[in-house]
Amino acid sequence: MLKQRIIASLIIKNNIVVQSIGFNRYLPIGSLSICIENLNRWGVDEIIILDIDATKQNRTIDNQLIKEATKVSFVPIGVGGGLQTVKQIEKVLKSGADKVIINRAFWTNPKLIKKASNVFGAQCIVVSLDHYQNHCYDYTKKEVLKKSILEAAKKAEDLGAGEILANSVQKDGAKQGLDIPLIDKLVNTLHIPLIAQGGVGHAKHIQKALDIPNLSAVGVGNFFHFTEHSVSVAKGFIKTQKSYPIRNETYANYLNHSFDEDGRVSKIADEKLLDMWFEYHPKESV
Amino acid sequence: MKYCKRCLYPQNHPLGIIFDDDGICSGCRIHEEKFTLNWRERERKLKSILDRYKSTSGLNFDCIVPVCGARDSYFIVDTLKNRYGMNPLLVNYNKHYNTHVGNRNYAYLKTIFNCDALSLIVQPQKVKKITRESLKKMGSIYWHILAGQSVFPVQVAVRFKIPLIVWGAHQGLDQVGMFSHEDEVEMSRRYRKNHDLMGFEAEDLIKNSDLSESDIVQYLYPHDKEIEKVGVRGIYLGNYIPWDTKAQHEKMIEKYGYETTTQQRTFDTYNDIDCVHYNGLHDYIKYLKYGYGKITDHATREIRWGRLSRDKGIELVERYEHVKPTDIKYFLKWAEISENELFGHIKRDNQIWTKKEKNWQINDHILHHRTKSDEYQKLVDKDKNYTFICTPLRDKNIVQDGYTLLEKGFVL
Repeated sequence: MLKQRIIASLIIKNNIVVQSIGFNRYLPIGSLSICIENLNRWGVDEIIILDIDATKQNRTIDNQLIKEATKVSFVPIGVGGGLQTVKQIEKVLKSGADKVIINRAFWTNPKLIKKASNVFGAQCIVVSLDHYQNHCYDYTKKEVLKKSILEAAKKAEDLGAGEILANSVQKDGAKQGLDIPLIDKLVNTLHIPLIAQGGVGHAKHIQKALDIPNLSAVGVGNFFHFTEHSVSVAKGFIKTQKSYPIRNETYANYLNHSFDEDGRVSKIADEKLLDMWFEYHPKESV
Repeated sequence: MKYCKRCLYPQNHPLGIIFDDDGICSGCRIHEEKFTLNWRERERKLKSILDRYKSTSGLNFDCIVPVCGARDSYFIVDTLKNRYGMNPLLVNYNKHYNTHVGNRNYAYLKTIFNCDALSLIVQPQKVKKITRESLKKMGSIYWHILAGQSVFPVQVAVRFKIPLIVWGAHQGLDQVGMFSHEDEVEMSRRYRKNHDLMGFEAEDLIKNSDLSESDIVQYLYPHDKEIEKVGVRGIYLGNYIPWDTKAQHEKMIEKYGYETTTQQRTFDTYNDIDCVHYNGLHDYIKYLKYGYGKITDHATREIRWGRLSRDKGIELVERYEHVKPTDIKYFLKWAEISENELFGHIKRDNQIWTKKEKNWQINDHILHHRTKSDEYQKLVDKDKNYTFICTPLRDKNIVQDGYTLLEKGFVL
């Protein structure tokens, strides 16, 4: 059985990683390569890098940034940001990216998906669809489109996309969980893998999405920036609830921990901590 | 250069900063939460977290509190011990560039609050070697302090099996709004490397240098597995208490006689007075790198609290920013280097500095970005001024001349 993936989604603005809230507010986080280095150590399955200013500023994502990022990563990296031509896609892939993510060009130049899929293979072409409830959303104009996301996703699949990334605008940064009913519908419509994103504020939100049997991956943005070992803690939490087909390969796997109502690591019992304190030797009589 | 319309922060803030459509920075937006969140509820949340970390056997400490002779240490310990009934272990990294005032504050802290304390003093020759390297690699005389004070508490946590570390404010949240208070951000190695250590962990510092691993052992982060095994977490009090360092220090002056002193490059007499260089040479270097200094941070903080108008803030920046600090000589003597060598290591940010005929020129300045009418400025409370108290010195006979590694304790 294929494993379900937990993907860290890194939003880039002014060449730094930011938190995104409702596709509207942004908070600075820091260096992309340092984020990636740590996410790797914490056992993330895959990483997505999205430069959200690139299309608006009529440029592509900074190549140097991708090179620095891919140099420190051991997991697959998908890159998006202003990609409109096969040549631009090639440049990104040559910089070390494993996949490219196409958002605006899917609407303005759908032929690109077909062409790129033929040239590079469907496995590295991800079409990203932002949506407000069931409707597609144009982030460059901050406008809800009259197009259904189910139809758009189907169209992307027909054009040759290898994977769909669906990102919910109203769930983005709200920490209230993903849009489960819609994800369910999308999974049942598509024959290609789906990455569902937007709304994770607790490991149980990821878990709830993974309950959809054919969901391939969950994308997590802001939430992974909040705590130490955020990925391994989330995976530990999920695995201790029920056995899910997810990868837990880090030394620090949090499989023997309990968690509080916020999904954060609970205090280990005092007796156990004291046991670790000193090596125990029974009382000696000489 | 873009500047925030409400505070004084520029776009090249080294922690990163985002301006919204109204030209207000992310730091100012997050600061608004200090007025809008339900802080009573947040303090209840804090209590519930702390209660769960109380040692049931009474044999171990409830938490670790990193402390020094300044920076809200009194307030943090007072809050934890006296308000929430915690039994903390105080942990201190000796900064080397200590002042007498700071040493006295730290000594009294231990006795006033009657706490156990651990202190790490790294051998002076190593500190010197490390500092020469950090100056070379990142133009910083402060790396060893930032590295030491951010890792020693974590090392103590894994060695003594104390799973909770309680920090004061989160600098990234407080200055540039990296997180909402409701994100309840916790300590992470990622943040430490990125922002405290300017991208250089101890392992990175020794690459292509005369330093060996034995020189940096005290600065190494514990392995992920050690942290997991003990379940170590580091929380920030500032997520649960509306952090106001000025008001907090004033309470501590009144309650416990916290000692304050004037500083060369800022009007703040409370923060970082334990260090000879922090608001001296270290801050001067910050100005040379980024085109603004600590005075901008301090004025920004007071503007956001509504105690200072933006115009008055800019006036203060003008007054303090160009002061060439007198403590440079102590550093040169200690590090055994020349002034030219010291400043030769400082790399200026080319977003703000341009070199013209061998001289550096600043491209822009907050002076050129006065805003006329900001709604926020109308809220400035003239009664709550930004004046910082200067307490009399506890010991008038000791003159600050160089560093003081250790001083006698003061048992009450």
